[in-house]
Amino acid sequence: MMRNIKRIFQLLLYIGLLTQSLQAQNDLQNIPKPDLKEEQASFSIVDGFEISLYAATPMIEKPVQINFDSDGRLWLCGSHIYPQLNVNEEPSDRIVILEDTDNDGVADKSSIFYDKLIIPGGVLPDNQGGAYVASGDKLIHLSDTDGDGKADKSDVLLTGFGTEDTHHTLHRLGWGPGGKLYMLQGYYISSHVETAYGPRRLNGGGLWTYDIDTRRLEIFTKGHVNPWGHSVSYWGQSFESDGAGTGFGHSFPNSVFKASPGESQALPTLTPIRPKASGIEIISGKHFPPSWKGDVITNDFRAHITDRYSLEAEGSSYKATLEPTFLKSSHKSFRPIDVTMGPDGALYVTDWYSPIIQHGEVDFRDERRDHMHGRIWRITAKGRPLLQKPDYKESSIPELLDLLKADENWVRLLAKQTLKSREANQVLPAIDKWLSELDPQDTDYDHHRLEALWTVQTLNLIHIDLLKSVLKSKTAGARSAAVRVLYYWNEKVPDALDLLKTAIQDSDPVVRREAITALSQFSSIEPFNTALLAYNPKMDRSYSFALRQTSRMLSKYWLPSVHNGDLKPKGDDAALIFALKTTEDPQVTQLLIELFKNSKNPDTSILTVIGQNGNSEQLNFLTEIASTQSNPYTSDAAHGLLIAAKNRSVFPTTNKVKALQNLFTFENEDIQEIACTITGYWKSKEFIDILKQKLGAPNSSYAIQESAAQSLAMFNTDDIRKFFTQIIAEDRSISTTKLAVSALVRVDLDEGIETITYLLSKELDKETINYLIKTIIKKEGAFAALSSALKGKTIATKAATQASRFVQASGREGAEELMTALAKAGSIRIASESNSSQKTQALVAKLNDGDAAKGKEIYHRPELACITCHKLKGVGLTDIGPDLGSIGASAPADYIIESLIEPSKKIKEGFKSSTITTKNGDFYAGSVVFEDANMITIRTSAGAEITMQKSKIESRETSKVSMMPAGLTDSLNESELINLLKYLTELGKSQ
Amino acid sequence: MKSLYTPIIFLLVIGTLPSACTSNSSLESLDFKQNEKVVFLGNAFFENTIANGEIETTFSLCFPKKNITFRNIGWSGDNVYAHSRTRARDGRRFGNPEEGFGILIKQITELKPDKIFIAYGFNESFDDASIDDFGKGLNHLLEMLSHHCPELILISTLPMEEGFGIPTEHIEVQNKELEKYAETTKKVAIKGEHRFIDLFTPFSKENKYTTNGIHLSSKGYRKAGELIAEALTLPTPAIKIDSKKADHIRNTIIKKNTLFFHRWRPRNDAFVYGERKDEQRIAQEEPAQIEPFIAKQEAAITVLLEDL
Repeated sequence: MMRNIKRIFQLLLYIGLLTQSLQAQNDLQNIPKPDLKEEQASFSIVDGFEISLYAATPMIEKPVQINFDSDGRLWLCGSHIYPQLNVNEEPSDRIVILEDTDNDGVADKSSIFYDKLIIPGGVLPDNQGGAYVASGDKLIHLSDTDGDGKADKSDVLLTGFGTEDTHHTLHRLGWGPGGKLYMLQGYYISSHVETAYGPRRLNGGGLWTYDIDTRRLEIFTKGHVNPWGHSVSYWGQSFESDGAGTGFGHSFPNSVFKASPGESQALPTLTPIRPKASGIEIISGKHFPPSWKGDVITNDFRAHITDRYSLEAEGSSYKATLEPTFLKSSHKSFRPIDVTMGPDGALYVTDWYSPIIQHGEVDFRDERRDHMHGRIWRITAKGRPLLQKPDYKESSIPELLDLLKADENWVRLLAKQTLKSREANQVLPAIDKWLSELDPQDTDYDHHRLEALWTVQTLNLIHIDLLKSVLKSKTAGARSAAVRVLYYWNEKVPDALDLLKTAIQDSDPVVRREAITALSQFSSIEPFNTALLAYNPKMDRSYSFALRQTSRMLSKYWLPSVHNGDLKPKGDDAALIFALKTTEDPQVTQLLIELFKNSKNPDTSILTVIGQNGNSEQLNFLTEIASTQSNPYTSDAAHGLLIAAKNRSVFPTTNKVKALQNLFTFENEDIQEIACTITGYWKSKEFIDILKQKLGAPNSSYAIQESAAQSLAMFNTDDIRKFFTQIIAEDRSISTTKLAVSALVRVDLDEGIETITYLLSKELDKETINYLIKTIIKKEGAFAALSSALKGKTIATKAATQASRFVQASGREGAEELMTALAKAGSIRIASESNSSQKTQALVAKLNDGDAAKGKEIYHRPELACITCHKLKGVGLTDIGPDLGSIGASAPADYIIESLIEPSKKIKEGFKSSTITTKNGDFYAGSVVFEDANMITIRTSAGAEITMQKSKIESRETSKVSMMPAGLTDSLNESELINLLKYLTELGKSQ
Repeated sequence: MKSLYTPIIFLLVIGTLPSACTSNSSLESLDFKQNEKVVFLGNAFFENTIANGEIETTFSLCFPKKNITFRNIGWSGDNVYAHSRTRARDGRRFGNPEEGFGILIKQITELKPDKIFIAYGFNESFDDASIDDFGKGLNHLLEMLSHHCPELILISTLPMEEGFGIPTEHIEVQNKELEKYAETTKKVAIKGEHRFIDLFTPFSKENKYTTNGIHLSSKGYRKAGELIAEALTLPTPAIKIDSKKADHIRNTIIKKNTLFFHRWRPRNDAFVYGERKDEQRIAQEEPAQIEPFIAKQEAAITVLLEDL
């Protein structure tokens, strides 16, 4: 296969599609020296703050995660091995402890705690001299048993985390407010972790929680492509950042985000402009100005920026607003990744320090990768006093409890962790005493009591009275957090369901959403009935998602009652109908039909569900509606029938003719189109003449013509074959002709190929040529047939060039031969390879003279079609290609040059093209956006998303060829090309 | 096909698990020919021994002159359907659970083992599916394996241990399940005329062999090695298992195991075999370059054993 690609590449040179040969990685010779002063001078920070250096190489190596312990020491895991261990190399990545012994804000002591790791993804001190470490496929605990400051004991806590992609492997460890250990994994990872409670399997990204005491591991959130950071708000809500360009989202148990394999629905993130968000921290504490409290800080490592967002409640979730840029650098090696607040109240940012990020785009062993440097930067607020670190270890239990009143999130966390190391039978009574002494007039009274509840949870104890009392707090945040505790304690609380029945009717939507989620942890029908009380037609996304998840998780308890008639849904019972629809259970379909029938104001989406899940008999309900004149639901019924036919090849048995007769009387074009399409699937001969008429009629819309042509081809009779030949011979409008060719190819390949050869000799536009080639791509042996049909023929040069491009992009077998045949028939001139090479060198040398402003104008030219497929910082038409908003900051210029000239050389992760041929002959090329065991959704290069059953797929290939056509930039002269390159290399770079 | 490989049937049953037909079982010691290859297949029971080399060291010391090669392909979370091995090698991002089975059989075909030790059942014991499904799955696995290997030896599940924060009632319930899985493994072994080693019964007697309630410690593995050697009536080890020389051999074995682990389960697997494999050239070349280093350790082990 590689050889094949190479030959196609040579052929491209030969037919002159490639104007330049490649001078790989030329531009990146200009690597900045790792000069700290220079880097520091590159920063600009928002007014009122300053940035200084806390630690740098050689005290540390390439930092990944940082975490402070209760002694104020900074634990850091780093990796000089990243991205890949060398052959026969001994593991040598380190856990380092940094100390600022003289409290001047600069680390002055660095000690190596452990140095036998391979690319550790996270470190979390246990505050007793040891640490938890995310070590590839394992979560380990390192301890120092002899007190010499070095780890001498390594215990494996969990094993079986996937390691398929080192930047997605287990990472970012942190404590949650209730004492659980939270950790992340990214996309491309399949984990199979053995636990005492059964294996835990997670494909793709997710947030795990691990209970150190009971050794229980659970999935908290699924999805996010590259979940990198996790931070918890004052009231215990979770926020996860995603380094793959979706920003950050608000997560709760059972929530699912984009790209979780096997999941058909996902929640959106909170950030519309989609930064490459790495670490995330929520501001708290007295050092930062009060107006910053609760704001989210997240790093955009690609753009060399640290951003600030403010959060406000919106329904059961939040709204994030981007504030003025907090910190930015013009230094191309500044890569802010992890971020955390420190014991002095300052903000600490780890700087991975490398001109090259990630590892897909650039070779693992590329010499310009920096394997040594790293920095920790410290950001302080000017003129505001720094904080004193409490002495946790020397504090008494009552003193530690008083620390739960602190403004600083980390102080409260460390106080709880320290309390955990004290005798539980002393802590519990002390908590009760502390609670009784709290002043109910204190504005933070509810939060103090919540912290006491979290302390009990951290100690793995149960305190039901306290839980009940926090559930009755005046502040909604405290109530919602208490419901979350109930999610974990569930059946251990005797009247849990009564408590949740109250919570589900709370005035606050966050509390109600938490209650819905907590109900998913029970095992009977009652919690389901309670959850349905939370239904309302205007639910927001997070809220309805929580209800969907709970309905699905409890379906094994309530669905049998529906099936055996114990639970009888009524037509106006919108809540139960909502739940039924979430099950995606085929058996439920009949029930939904009855509900639809018996309702005065039925839920029309039921008709779609019938199309998705119904059997032939159930589809008869749709034809019944579709064949009734002036039925208000005809359009929905027709749509359901289309889904059933197209996605599943399931057809109704009665009323087919009557339904089509009725549908063809509609003037509505969508209905007409559906009627044409299902005629073919149903093989309803009675309507052949209507289809012929629709294809031939000059006033038919293109969409209708197309469905008519495709449907006609499904009949495959002599009569229809003749009809197609006739249409083509009549030389009608080009759109009619090409549709007829496409249909003809499906019924008679040889005749179709002959017609295509004939048409290529004419003056055709680019779209038509692409269309014609596309019609034969799906046919086995068609490229070879066209190659031989072209022998001795002459076709237009322009047509040959365009056809070659499309053939090359298909990546299909026989492409190479066909390109040669096209070149010959089209008399394409042979370009000189050496000249091309010289031209490229010249181009690279002149890059600095480029004019980015002019390049921008070129970028937006319609004929280059850049904007057709790419967005800029989330703005644009489609997501066919990667967002180029910060391409200049993330990719070296030579990478961009290569991508422009030879798009297939480096295809961005997630943008690979797959080609799918279905059993009924449809051909689709696009990127796979969703896939599970049964279904697949691909986004075509035209931007449409097509979902189909996998059982309908005949063959499938992952193309090694980019969806971006080669030669898009051929029309540019040299200076234009330089300007365009200049513009692209500037994108996303800060000024 | 199978009859070619199994001219003599030995059946070995030790311990106190109730047996369906112990009467026709015969106790014969397991023998090794020169240069045989042994594969350890299963869940984390085998995967975790990569890091301590215990069971392999016991075998090596029992047969120091036979130049036996060991390949440990245990995988955490794995079950008789080889679910953990699913890696979407056909270019999809994530494969179907069944895909792992094909990958496993392909690997076994390439390794051409003379003996396979098989330890499954822990993960399956938590399934909603019935225990009969486990029996069928195990049987299916054994049938496939027997086309590629003449000698399959089954190892029972182990009980969970108390004392690691796991609720006692949970352990009690789960241990009843695990015992059933041990029994089913035994039944399948008897039916298929394979050797079976009961570790459930001996490990139920004492509560001091795991690191976390479910996985054996080095000490636990040493005990398991002894029990397996005893069950198979292997020759007495050439030197004491806790001697300095044995430590040296064990460390060399660990080094070899670690290299082999990086060879067949490299980091960045997605770039080597999976969805991202078109993105990196070096990623695909490097794992094979580990081979000579494995061979070197292998030779060192042979020399150390021959010198005993």
